[in-house]
Amino acid sequence: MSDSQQVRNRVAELLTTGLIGDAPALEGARVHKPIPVADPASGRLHSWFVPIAWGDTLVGFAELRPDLEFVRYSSFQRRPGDTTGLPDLTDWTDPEKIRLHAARASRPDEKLGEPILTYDREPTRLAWAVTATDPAGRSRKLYVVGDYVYEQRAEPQQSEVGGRPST
Amino acid sequence: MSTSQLQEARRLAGLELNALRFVEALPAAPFEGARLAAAGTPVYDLSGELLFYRFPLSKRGATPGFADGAAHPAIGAPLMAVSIGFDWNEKELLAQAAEAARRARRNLQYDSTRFVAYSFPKVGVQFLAAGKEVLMLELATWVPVPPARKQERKPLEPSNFERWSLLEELPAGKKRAGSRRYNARVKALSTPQLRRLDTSVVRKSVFENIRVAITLVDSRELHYSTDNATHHPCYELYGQLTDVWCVAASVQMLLAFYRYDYTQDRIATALGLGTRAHPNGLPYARVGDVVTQLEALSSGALDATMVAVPAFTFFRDEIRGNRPLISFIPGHSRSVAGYIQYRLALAGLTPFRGLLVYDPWPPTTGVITRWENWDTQTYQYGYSAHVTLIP
Repeated sequence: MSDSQQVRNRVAELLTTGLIGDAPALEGARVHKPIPVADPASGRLHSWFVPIAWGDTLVGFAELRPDLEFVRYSSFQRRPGDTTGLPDLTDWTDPEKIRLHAARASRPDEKLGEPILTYDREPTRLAWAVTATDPAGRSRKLYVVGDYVYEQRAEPQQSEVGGRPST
Repeated sequence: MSTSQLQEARRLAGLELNALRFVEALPAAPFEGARLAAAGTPVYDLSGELLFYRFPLSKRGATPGFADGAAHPAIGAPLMAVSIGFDWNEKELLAQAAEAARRARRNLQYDSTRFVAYSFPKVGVQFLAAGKEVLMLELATWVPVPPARKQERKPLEPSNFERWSLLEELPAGKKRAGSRRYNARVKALSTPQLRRLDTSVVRKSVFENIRVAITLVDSRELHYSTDNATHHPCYELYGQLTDVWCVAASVQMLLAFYRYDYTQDRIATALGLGTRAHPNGLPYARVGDVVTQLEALSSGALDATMVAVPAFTFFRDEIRGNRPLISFIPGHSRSVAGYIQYRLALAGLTPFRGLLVYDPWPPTTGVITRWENWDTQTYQYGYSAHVTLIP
């Protein structure tokens, strides 16, 4: 069995326990294909992002460590059972859609690389990283989080909450 | 040792195993469908008191194991341990022990044998003649267990291969506390409904099929008041409006709970986080500003506190008091609105503990994390706020 299938099975198992998810909304939900989250420094597998889809929308996601330890379940539902205002599933899972979002913050002469799911500074700040490269070979990193796009910030001079974490 | 005592130990161990399976603390692979044998092996303390029963666990095609069910209340819990990988066969083990004893002492005379926790949880086989020990062999290695040492040593700090009595060395206070916990647990597991359950086989469905009569988890989330029964959960998620305004959004959530309706831009200004066009994070040198601004923006109605490296109990106790919190983890800030802790866990393992986190990330939307595994996160600072009485 592949790692991805094992992750999927583990989340499906957790859903049946009631530990994660909201029963009414999850009745028609399905466990989407897990996506590896890359460590931004090493590129190695940091965790698994497992989308929980409801139709074409994203109800929430589970995050598991590589050894399948449960890290968290996060929901976009504002209230239990509420499925209004959920983000599009493709905003979080489809590389082409993510590149389209990144293009909003890129310049016309920049080429966009393949999106990689990673995190910005802190592991709970999941984001798709897209490298934008200009004709002179200069690159900068764009982050796509749902339909929100921003450029990687320069390192602040001091550690910040929200900015560069303390070491 | 009575039959009813054995049956009760098996019933309680079976209930605990099924409850652990129900909450997924025991994985399906070796445990779903495993049968708890009716015949348990009594294991005695060195003092001669009955300590626990060891029940073989078997499942066709799976690695065998055993479960230890307490017989002495001082143990503190009805289910002491579950082990997989050792085929517990009392008759076979006693036969092996007898053979080893014959090899060790050719003329050994004895009239009975029993299993003894000679150095809890290590078990040996004791050979007795007229009630007095003539030999004790360590289980499986069949090495003779030496007599008790004469010299003084600290209680519960034995050397590597030494006999000592758990019941004699446990401090009296710990024994009393253990007995209280054990008796409370037995009471909770002895309702008529639970007594009717067949728990001889470990199955998730055993607890799924009934309305669970024992509380498996301790959990609470913020409500409009402390009256959970008649008031709804009450907390609002705010997404951070820039990629670095997690602190502003967290403060906004906490203040909104107390009906202080500030915009995030206004809070960001108060905290010195710049503007939406030119935002910045909160420098670690100024983490105390959160306390200052919670108090200032509530005109002193809130008395805020910052705790470094907060414990789980800090969050739990505030939520029990119906007060939201702010949690700083390295580089990020969120608000906490609930907690969960499982009451069940195998001996030696920490039960699952989690926080209900209102996370302002992703920007503009945020997510509600139910639950964040406490043991996988680093908690740097926690902030609480109490309403002060203003004359």
